[in-house]
Amino acid sequence: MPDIAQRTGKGRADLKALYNKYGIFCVMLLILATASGISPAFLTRTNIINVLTQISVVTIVACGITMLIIEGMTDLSAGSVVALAGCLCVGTNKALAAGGMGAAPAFALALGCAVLVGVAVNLAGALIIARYDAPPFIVTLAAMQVARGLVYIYTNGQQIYDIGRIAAIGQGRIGMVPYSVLIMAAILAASWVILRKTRFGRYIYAIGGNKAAAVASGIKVNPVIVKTFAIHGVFVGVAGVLYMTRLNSGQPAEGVGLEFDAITAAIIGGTSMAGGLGTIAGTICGSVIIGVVNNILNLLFVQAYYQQIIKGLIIVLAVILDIKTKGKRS
Amino acid sequence: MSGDPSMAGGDCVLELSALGKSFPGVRALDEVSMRVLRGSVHVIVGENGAGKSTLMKIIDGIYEPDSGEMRLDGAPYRPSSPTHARSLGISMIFQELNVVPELSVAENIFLGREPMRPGGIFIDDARLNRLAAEYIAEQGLGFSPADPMKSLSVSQAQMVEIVKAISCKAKLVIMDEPTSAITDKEVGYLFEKIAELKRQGVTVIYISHKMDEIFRIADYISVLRDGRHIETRPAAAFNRDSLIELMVGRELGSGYPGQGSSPGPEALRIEGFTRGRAFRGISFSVRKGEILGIAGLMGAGRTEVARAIFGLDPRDSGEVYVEGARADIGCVDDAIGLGIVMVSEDRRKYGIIPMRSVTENANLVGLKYRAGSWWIDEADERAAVREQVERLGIKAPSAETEIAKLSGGNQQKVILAKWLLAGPKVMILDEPTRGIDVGAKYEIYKLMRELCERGIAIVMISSELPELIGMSDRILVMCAGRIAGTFERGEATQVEIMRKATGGIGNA
Amino acid sequence: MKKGITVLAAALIALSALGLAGCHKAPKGPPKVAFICKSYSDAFCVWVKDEMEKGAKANYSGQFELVCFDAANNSTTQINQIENCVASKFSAIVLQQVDAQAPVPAVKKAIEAGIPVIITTGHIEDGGASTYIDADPVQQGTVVAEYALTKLPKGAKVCILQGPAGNFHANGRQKGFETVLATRPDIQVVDAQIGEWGKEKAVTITQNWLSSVKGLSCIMSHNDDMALGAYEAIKMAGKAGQIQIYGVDALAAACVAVKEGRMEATVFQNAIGYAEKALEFASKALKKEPIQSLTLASDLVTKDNVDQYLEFHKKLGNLK
Repeated sequence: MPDIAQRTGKGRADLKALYNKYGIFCVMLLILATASGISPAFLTRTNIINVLTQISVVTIVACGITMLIIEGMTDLSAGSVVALAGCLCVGTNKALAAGGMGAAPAFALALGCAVLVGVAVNLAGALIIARYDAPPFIVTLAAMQVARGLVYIYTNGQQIYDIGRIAAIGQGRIGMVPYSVLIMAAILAASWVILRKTRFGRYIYAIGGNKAAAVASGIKVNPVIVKTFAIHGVFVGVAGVLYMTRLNSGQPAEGVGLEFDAITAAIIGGTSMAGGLGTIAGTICGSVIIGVVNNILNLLFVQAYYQQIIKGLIIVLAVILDIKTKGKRS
Repeated sequence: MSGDPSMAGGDCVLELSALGKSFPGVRALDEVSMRVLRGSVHVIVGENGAGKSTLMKIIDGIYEPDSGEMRLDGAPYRPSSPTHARSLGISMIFQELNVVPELSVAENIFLGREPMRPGGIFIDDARLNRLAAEYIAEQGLGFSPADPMKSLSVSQAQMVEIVKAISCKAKLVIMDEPTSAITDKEVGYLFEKIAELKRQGVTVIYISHKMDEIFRIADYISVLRDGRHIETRPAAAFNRDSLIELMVGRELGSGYPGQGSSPGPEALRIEGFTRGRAFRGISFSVRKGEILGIAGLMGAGRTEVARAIFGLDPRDSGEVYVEGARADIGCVDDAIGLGIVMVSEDRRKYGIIPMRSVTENANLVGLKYRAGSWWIDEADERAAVREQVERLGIKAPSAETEIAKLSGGNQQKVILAKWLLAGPKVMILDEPTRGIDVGAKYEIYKLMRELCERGIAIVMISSELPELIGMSDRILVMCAGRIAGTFERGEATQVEIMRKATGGIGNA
Repeated sequence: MKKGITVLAAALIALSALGLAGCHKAPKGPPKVAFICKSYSDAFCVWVKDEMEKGAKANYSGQFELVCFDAANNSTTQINQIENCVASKFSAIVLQQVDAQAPVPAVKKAIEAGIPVIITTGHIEDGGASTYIDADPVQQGTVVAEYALTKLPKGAKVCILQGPAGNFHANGRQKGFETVLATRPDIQVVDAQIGEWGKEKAVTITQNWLSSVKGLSCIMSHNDDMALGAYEAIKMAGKAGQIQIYGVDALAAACVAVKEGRMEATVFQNAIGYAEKALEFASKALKKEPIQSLTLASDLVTKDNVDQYLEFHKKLGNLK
């Protein structure tokens, strides 16, 4: 009777399952191989580090977005919140430093402010979503507007310049590796652990897969949703700090469309908009694919407009690939 | 090979030869050959997972077979889609009706092939409604073509589907378990319609589990098992037991495993459960190792009471006592913490997380209530799930397979495993064997007995009276939100239960 | 469960391995000079870009190859492009800054890597690390405002369309406007709104002014795109000819507008000079000759002298 594994049809089905699981990884390797084939500049150390630095902010945001999409949620406010958190961070640091505070405590407080505001905006949205069972698409769309308005109010529409030594967060490096890449790696690892190794992560999948069944299995759905948004808020706050310190200034109008880049990375990586499916490993692949494609097109001097078209085509291809490999679900 | 000598000749409308179809990890159909005679009612039986649905989906053009061929009226038949199949004269009526609730009856009948005004841009609404009215009148149906679809009952909606099939000039109508959601009276009406279709020379392929129905309407019966065609014979050549044996592939005993040891002390007692009109003044208790059956018609409030006990729905008043102590259940989490679990009647809606693996589904509750840690110990999880898989005889390509890819019976076993891993004291099973084939049903009965032996109390809600009578130590009958009577083991008969359930003679 | 880790680890290892294995191959062909344009949607920037391309082909094809990029008015994109140019071993980088501070670290890194950076049509606040070719925005504002003083009626009400907040050029032009207009106390500056250099935003802002400011007599704009936007709004409101419009940049469309009397005046931003100087600087830098930052003067364009600029634009192919 216990015949798990006995009914496994070997051969084609296995290959398909393998492709299913590693498909996007293979696509990524293919793109890496192609890129190094067509441009001698691609494989240089500087360039690889450039690519990793350039994808770090989007990847960090994509981690939280992956969790949210798996959960059947989404977040359209990330770009605005990145701008808000980033400007708040460099602004606070500048003000504290001007007030005579030491560099280290000022850094810490500024970082804290950024993370706090990231969490606060997301928490507010999540509470509305949970309390009123409101569609996350609309609520986070509203949050996007509010956060953008807040950042303009905070900065008075002006760029924040002369941000001081805090710029090192976005620009400094240990040995060869920039801090931003290390921070990205840490957040990727944390997200992976959350999704794969904790009960909380399982609940995220369950809620996105079938909310009613999750409720009937004793999962307290709303707290899980709120916590997921809070975690995402932390990531967005950190992303904001990296973003603005890399820009060496607080730019209130920046970060527009960042959330869509993050959603794109997640979807290329196999996260299903219907919820219940997705992995951090996939999102990494998605993010690397976008980053490398952008980079190689730049190295080949392809114009930005063509780049957008190519990005669009990659999304379509990824979706087709997803549907083809996962097949019709009964 | 399957012998169907009686069908060697005859006017054959559909002929299947050596159809094969595989899904990842499962051989769904294996060399299936079959002939369907014109104007007959051809019933296809088999356990869940036997390949019936796959076969029908191939005939309807949803799936493409991996091998083999089909002939319709002697000509090769390769439908590319259900629409294509319909244009060739084959219509399918699904288990879940394919209707658009917001549209009118007439619009549903002509969905996708609306009559057009000259020019082909605008729908000719007048003609659409007139034609629909004619069809509805022809079939003697009591609703208007302008009625919104959502105002119709399930049975009426089914009739619309049949009208739709007829209006397409279907030669062959496939019905997939059409009686799973309709009343006995409506079943009678459906069968009249089938008889009429037959008189008009339309062939009906009918899929069902229900033995009495099968013998009422079948001209021919084909048995599928494990994706293979076992037998096709005229209905008269079978009897109930021989058919079940062919389906299951082994002989069955009485149908219910023997009774175990006598019940122990009280496990769960509820007093005065009331919520609005849904249920009023419901009190009962169940003892350790006891199976309490709850009978009643649809809408009698059985599921509602169960959901309220489990903390899924609120209640106006009522107390719960677990092992004699008053318990406070505000949400599902509380209930599970007290050892009360509930297997829902609607597996797809409240049971499975369809795209996740067997392991994740089985361990969804156990993570908190068995392991109890925020971290997942994967070795421990694998071991726990494997134990359940072996104990319940869950058939799956692997523990990592998506649960949606399993048959209904195996899905139900995974859901049972999920609740067993929570370490329950009281299990509320709402229609535990609905939509499950005969073999798996027996395994679930056996499991229930085994659980009783271990001192678990079971509350079983069921609409199948033989099952209730065969399994329960006591039966409680609900009618219109109240308890209409109770029966001790041995007292209950189907007639008595139905009398109480329908409110005939109530002495409670 | 382990497979996830494998994929993750493999991805990171693959990337870092590629990074470590990376060898510094020198690119083939002639040296490459990058021109990172601020935005291809900005008429003036594109003009400079076109001049650069033409000039490079005509005068420097033997020395280097010019490759143009569009920063799409986005600092992040611009930084990425600078970094990519360094990785691709460009010999020099010419750029129009999107922001005065954001690209500073990237520019410094490029200079550290031995790649000279030339800023054209502006400058960045990098403490003199790069070389710039800039106009004096205060002079631009002043010259147009002084002309306006001669045209504005007594008690004129003026509104100002501004470039992005904190922008060096916007601030300079604003300062020029304000200082000059303040010399005539009868003139009232009613409002100043940020139009972000864009025509579309300028239309909206102007429409609001037309309904809120009674007796508006003049709109002064920090650039021509916004000035032309203001004209559109005024025309839609049926007030064409009643409100004076001033701009800066002397775009082809603006010169035509001045010629036809739709605009009063604009200021010729020497696009050709910017391009020529940038190319010259790049060429010198490649030859290791010293280069020094400089400021280009800007000329007032009015109905009286607009014909020569129209000829200019015709010769450049900007006008038929």
